[in-house]
Amino acid sequence: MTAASVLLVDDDDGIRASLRLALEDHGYQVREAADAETALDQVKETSPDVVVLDLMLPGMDGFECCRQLRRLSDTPVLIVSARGDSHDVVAGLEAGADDYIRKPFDVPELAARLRALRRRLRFSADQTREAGSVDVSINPDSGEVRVHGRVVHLTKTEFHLLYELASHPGRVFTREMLLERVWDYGYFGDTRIVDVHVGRLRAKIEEDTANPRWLVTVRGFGYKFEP
Amino acid sequence: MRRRRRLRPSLSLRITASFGLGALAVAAAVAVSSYWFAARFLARQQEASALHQAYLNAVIVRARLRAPHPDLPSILDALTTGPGTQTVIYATGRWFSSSLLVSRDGLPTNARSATLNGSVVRAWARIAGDAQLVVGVPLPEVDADYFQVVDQSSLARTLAVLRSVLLGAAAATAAAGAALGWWVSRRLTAPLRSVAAAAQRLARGNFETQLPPERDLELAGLVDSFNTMVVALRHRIERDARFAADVSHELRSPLTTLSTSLSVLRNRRDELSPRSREALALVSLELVRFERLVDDLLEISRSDVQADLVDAEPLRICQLILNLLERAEYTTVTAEFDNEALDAVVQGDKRRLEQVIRNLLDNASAYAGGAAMITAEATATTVSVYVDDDGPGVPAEERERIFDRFTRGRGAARRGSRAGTGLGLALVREHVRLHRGKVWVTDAPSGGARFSIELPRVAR
Repeated sequence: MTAASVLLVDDDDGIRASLRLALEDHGYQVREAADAETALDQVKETSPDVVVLDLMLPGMDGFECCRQLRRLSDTPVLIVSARGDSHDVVAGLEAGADDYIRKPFDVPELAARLRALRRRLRFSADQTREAGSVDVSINPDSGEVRVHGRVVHLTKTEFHLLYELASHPGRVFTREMLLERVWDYGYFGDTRIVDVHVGRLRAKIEEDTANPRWLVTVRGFGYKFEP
Repeated sequence: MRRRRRLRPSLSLRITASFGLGALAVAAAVAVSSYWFAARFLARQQEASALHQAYLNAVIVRARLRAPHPDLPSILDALTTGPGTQTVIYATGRWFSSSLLVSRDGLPTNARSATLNGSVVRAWARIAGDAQLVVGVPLPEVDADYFQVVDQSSLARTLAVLRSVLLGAAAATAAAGAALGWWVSRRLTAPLRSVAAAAQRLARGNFETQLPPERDLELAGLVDSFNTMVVALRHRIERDARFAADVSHELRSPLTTLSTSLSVLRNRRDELSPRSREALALVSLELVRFERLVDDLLEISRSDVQADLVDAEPLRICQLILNLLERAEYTTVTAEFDNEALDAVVQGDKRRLEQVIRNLLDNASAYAGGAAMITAEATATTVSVYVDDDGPGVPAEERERIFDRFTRGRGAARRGSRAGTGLGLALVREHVRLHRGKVWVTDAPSGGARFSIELPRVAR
C-alpha cells in the first residue's frame, strides 16, 4: 500500500508541526492548510485520502468547510473538536464529517481513528455479497446504492453503515455494535455518531424521515433494516 | 446539618383562626342580644294580654259576686279564657278553681300573699314543670281575689326554637369567618409560597427561574428584587463558568502540541540518553495529569451552569458498570449484582455515569489501593450502587468535605503519580446531582470506605 496522504487543517502552527512529525512517524504523507479556503483548494488539487479538520478556524469555520468539502468529494473527514461539546460534535457530524476526536488527543488514538477511516475506503472492495431488499439494492462491487432503481450517492461511511444493517435484514443492531463494526470503536465510543449517520442515511434514502420505511429505530435497543 | 427550630403555627393557620374566632365573637354577641330582646318583648306582650284579660274577668267576677247567692263554680265556668288558662277565685274564705291542675297550693306563695294583701300581681312561675304566668287581681269590694294562671309552654317552645336557630347561625357565621380567613390567608401567602418554590428551584440549580410579574405594589417590589437577584446570580455563575471553560479551552491547543511532540519523542526513546529518558517519562506523566485537570475543569464549569441532563437515555446502570470493569485497569474489581439490580433502569447520561463510576474507582485506587467490591440494590423507585474498598476509611469529619473541589483527604498527603486532579469526587457529586440522585460516604461492612450513589429508577 502506498503512503496514505492526510490533509491537516488547523490554524495553530504548533499543532500542525507536531502532528506532521507524529503522523509521518506513522507512515503518512502529510499536507497542511491553515484555513478553510486553502484546505478546499488542497482537496481539489491533491485529493488527500483523509482530512483532519479542526472546527475552530479563522474566517470560514470548520462546519462550513466540511459542508463545502462534501460537495467536492467523498474524502473521509475526521473533525477535531476542542470543546468536546455535544453541540459542536453533533453539528460537525451533521455537516458531513465521518468521525470526531477531542482535543487534546494522543497520537495512538488519532492513528487508530485514521486507520478505521481508511479501512472503510477499502471496505466495498472486500465485500462481494449483495444486500438490501427489492426496493433498496446495495452493490458492494460498484459501491452503488439504488432506491427504487434510482442511484443514491453515499459516502463510504454511510455505505458501510447501510451495508452492515441491510446484510442482516430485520436484525436489531445496538448503537455500540454498529460503532464497533463500522467505526472500529469499542464500547466507549460516542453513540451519537451512529445516530447522526443514521439520520443522514435516512435523509438520502427515505421518503419520510419522520416515519422511516427501511431504517427503523428500535426504541431502547438500536436500529434495524426492515426489508 | 439541619437544626430543629421551634416553629410557630403557620401564618395561614393563624389568620384562619383569628378570622374564625372574630366571626364567632360577633355572631355570639348578636345572637345573645337578639335572644334577650326577643324574649323580653314576648314576655311583656304575654303579660300585657294576660293582665288585660284578667281585668276583664275580674270585673265579671266582681259583678257576679255582688249578686245574691253567688254560685262560684258557675262563675268560673262563665269566664272567657283562652286555651291553657286556669282561673282560681278566693272568696268567702274558700278557694275555687277551674281545674284540678291549679289550686290554692299551686299558686306561687309570694304572688298569692301579695294579692291577698291587696296588690295586683304578675309573676312567672314553673307549675307542674311548665312555664306559667300568674296574674292576681284583688277584689276588695266583694272581699275576694281573682287569680288567672296562663300556660306559657308555647312561648318557651318558641324561645327554644329561637335559641337553637341563633346558636346555629352563630356557628355557621364562625365557620364562614374561618373559611374566609383561610381564603384570605391563601391569597396573602400565595406570593410567599411562589417565592419559596422559586428559591427551591434556584437552589437545585435552575437559574432560569423567574417569578411571574405582580400587579400589587408591595409584592411587585419583592418580585422585582427576586428576579433581579436571580439574573445577577446567573450572570455571575455564567461568567465564572465561562472563564474556567475559556481557560481550559485555550490550554487545549498547547496541550495537544505538547502531547503530540512527546509521542514523537517517545517513538525515539532509544536514541535518548538514560537521563533524557527519565526526564521524558516525568514530562509525559505530568502531561497526562495536566490534561485530566483541564478536562475536569471544563467539565465542572459546564455542570455549574447546567440544571438538567441534556443527553439522557434509559440505561441499565449495573450493565454499564460491568462493561466498564472489562477495561484493563479495573480487572481486579469484583462486582456482585442480583437480577433485580441488573434489570434496573435509570434515566441517565452514559458518559457522565461512566465518569462517576470511573472517578470512584480511581479514588479508591489513589487512597485505598483500589476498590474491592461493587454491589447494588434496587427498590421500586431507586437504584443504589455501593463502591467498597479495604482502605483506612474516611473520618467522619471529612465525609462532607471530600466532595468539595480541590480538597484532598488526609490519606492523600503524598501526591503520588496516582493522585487525581482534586476534582474527581466534586465531579461525582455534580453528575449525581444532575441525575437527581445522592452520593455519600460511610464505612464499608468490610472496614474500608463505602461510597454510595442513589439514583431515581425508571418505572418499568
